[in-house]
Amino acid sequence: MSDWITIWSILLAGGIGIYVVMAIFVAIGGAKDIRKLFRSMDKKKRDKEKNLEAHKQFRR
Amino acid sequence: MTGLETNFSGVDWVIVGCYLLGTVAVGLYVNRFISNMADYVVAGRAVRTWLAVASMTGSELGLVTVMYAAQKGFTGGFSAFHIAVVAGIVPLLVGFTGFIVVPLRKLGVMTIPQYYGLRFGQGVRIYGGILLAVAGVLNMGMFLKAGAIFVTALTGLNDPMQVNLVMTALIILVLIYTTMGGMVSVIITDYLQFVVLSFGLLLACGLAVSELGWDNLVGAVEQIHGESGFNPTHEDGFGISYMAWMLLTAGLVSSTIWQTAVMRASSAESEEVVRNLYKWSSVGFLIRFLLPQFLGICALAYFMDIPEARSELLTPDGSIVDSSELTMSAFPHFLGQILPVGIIGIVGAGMLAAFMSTHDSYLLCWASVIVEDVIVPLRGGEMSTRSRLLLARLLIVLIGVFLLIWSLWYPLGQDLLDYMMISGAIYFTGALALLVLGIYWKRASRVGAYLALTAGGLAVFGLTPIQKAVGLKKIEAAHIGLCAAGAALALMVIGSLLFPDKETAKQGEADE
Repeated sequence: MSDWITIWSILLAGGIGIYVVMAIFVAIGGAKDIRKLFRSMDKKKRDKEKNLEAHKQFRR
Repeated sequence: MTGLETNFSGVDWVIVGCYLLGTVAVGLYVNRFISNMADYVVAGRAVRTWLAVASMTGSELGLVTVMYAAQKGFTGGFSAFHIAVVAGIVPLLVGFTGFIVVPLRKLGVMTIPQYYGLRFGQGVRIYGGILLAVAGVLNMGMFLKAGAIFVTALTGLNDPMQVNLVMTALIILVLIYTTMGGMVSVIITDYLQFVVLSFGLLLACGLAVSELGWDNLVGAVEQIHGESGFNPTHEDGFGISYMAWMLLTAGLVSSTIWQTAVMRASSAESEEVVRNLYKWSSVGFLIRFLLPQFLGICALAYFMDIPEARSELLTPDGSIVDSSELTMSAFPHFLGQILPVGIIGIVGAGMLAAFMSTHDSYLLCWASVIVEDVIVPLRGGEMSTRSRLLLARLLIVLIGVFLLIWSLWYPLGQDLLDYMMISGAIYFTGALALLVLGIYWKRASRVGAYLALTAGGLAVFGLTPIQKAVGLKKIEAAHIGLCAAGAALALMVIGSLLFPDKETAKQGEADE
């Protein structure tokens, strides 16, 4: 039983340690990615509207 | 549990209110970016690694996951950690090998039935889509019940009417921001939830250990569970077959076959992002079980020292009571006892946001499957983007209403994790055969696919109320699930060999 307790305590301590590091990286990197996502979707939408407008003018 | 005070106060209610309204505001804000179905369902396929990891982890670290994982820690002791191990290792291997998810991303599919359509034809896509949506909605069926138990135990609200009002308000908030913002709002709220819940749970673990002490935790598990509380292979505890079932479900299925995980892979910017997403998310997959299971163990140790709680949670012979509702409520009661004012509000808000986040992901997912894989193919592919979006939004509301009714009516009768796995198995046992053999075995055929999907339906007999209704003696859900998965794989192979697709048969004749 003591072997199992050792395994689980190492897993718990190691898992929490890695997760703390990952959480910090993901929190910072994720915020930057959100900004990029908004920019890219905004640009895509504006391009689409521009194309639509150009298409309308061409048809006129 | 009766007679337990909670630290939850008025200040905490204000924190919860502000946080939840903030998430709705995000949904309304991002609605301006949605211009087509790809934007709505997979965020325009423009999500990068860190955000994808936060979203995947945030979505999977929901209130329901935390509740069922904590319940397993409470009822199984440290042995339950084997579930966390397999849940972490399998996505890591998927990240290195690209198993299933990279081929799916290459094909650019948004849903798994879409893959069925490309590989086996539209009939299999529609049939698979129906099964997936039915199993998926049933799988969500206990979410509201788990949420209600959490709110009641954490906040100390004892009036059922107040709890129902809180749950209904939460569902309405979810419906508003999911119908408005689609996957973009889901991803942003997942990110917020990831940050709040990760740090909240870590803090709760720290406080729990400092309050109880490691030796007390080990002593309590030894006293209640004995050897089986530490050794997962022990026959009085989980046993080998349960571990195999968890390897399949918590490991392989939740990371590669379950539609919500696949949608995250589909939303990724590139195949490289998919691989990185799985490598990094493996830590999240491990932690989503490990931390709550540990807090479940802490709850066990804490309540063993309180005579009133002990008499409710243990039978006279010293084993844990056979009441899913009671064992599920131990964890939120414990949080209500150890977390201080203010912190409890933040953790509570994070958990409720997690509850909403899981709902939004799943609602969006199943509504998209019904629209894209059932209704649109049945109409011969003719449906405007506007109509598809409108229909998806309508379905989200209808599923929400169904969940409200189902959670009040269905008698759970087993651990929440086991309900979740076996209801999901109705779909994923067949899906596993179709995906693995469809991608990696050229001879997999349409008839084999129909047979495999049908075999998955056997999993329904793993639900306790169904076993009682048909007069089956108590059979472990794990055994039924493993049998259903084996039957689906066998039927897929047999059906494909006996009834090959015409093109495959012609190719075989030409080769000869």
